Amino acid sequence: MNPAQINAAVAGEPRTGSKRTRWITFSLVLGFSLLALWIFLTKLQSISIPFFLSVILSLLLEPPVNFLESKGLGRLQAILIIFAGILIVILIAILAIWPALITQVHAIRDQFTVTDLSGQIESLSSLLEKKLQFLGAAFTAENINLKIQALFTEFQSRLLKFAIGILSAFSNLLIIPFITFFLLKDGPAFKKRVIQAVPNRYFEMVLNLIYKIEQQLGGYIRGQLIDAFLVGILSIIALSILGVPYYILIGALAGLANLIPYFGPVVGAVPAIVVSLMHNPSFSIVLWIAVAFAIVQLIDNIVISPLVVARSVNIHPLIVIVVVLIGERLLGVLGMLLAVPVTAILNVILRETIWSFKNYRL
Amino acid sequence: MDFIWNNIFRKRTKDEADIADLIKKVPIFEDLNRLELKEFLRISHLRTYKPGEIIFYEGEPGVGMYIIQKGRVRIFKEAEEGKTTELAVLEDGDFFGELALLDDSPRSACAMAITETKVIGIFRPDLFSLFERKPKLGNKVLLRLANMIGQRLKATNEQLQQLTREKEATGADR
Repeated sequence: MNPAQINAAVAGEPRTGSKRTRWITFSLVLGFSLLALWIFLTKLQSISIPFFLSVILSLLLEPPVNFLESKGLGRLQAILIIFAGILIVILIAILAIWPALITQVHAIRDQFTVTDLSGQIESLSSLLEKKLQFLGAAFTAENINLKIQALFTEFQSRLLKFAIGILSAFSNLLIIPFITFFLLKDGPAFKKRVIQAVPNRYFEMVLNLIYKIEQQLGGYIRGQLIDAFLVGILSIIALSILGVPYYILIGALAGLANLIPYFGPVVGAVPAIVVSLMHNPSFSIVLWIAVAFAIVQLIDNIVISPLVVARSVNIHPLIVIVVVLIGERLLGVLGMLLAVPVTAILNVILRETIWSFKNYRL
Repeated sequence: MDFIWNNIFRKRTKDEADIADLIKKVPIFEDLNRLELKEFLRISHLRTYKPGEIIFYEGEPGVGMYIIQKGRVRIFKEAEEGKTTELAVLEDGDFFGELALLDDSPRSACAMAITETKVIGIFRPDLFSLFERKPKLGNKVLLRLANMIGQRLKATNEQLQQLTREKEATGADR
């Protein structure tokens, strides 16, 4: 090659195509990838949800598998040991917690029989009418009763929809361990194949991008799950101290709901308040439950979150609220749970792509 | 099913053996045993560049190193007004970009394929992940890398001392 050819190549005009063509190609590839991701997540839910959950699970299990591998075990052995460990934990949980949980679920179901429920609503309505007398004629027991009945009907239909969704999702859940196993075992090989298909000019950039996404997202998801687990434990402790019935079930639900930012703590507190009011219709218990959940949230925000949740995936609170609402519209409760991780992926992709465009000569 | 069994009982192909030999020739990796080299095969990327194709530009974030399997690569710096200063021409078995294994500081020069060139790329993210899983292997590689950087620093110091002595001698003559 003569110096003129070198200069032309350095100036950004190598023989593989003009800069404009490369920009257009890159934008098209990125656009189609995002469109494919969108279709995969919304239209092919029976495949995308188990796959997405498997990705989350594999990110969660990657560090313990790596740890065992660093102790001299083979990758396959390490994965099998972790899977066996999870199976043992699930079995122990089933044997130890399941009977108590089932008793609590049955008790709640019995509590919510139609006749009992009407009686409970009526007593609650009279209590509200008595306490809210100063608000005038609009707050008669009858009006409140009708409002609460409508609220419960809405709640029941939503609960039914959610239960059907969970049941249909559960059948798909059976393939999650298989996908997770292969992601853990052959994940790097899959990644290598994907990277192999990337043109030379974008190769280093894509490699860097995938690594950063993995790093930030892995940390974020692991952090969120540890956070939810600790909030669940704290909620169970708080509710047991207050003597709220079915505290294990409600506390566990509160922990799970904590995965949904902003809405989660409210969603977690509502069942506790409803169940307590059914047992003992007094405002003091509502106040105590609210205080307990506020304290749990305070501990979460001041101590747990800063320690365990990766701060790298910073998304503006307004965006979080909007995406959680969009998630609810698209996939219901599961959509609310997946909204933030999906946004986090898109956020990291966007941020790192912009960074790459600034730092690489494309 | 064949795919699974082939995957489990796969033997090393001649290509893989050649690549392993080539990796072992790089001073940073010369202490590695056969099993450890196998781990490197899993994380190495094979790329082919056309004549005149840029492998990386000066100033771009460094992600990893390249070993030339076949072909020729020109290493050069960009000068003002689009001119270039050639630093080296590398051939089969040579390697470049090894400092990017340590951090993502910008590439200090450009690399461009002169002929059709096949390179083996080993990259920092994969390498760090491998070190996390195989700390003994990581120790060997990092020790070698530290040794190499130490030697370069020593050589640079000697050159600096030489230059200082020459400058002092020139000053004394005047």
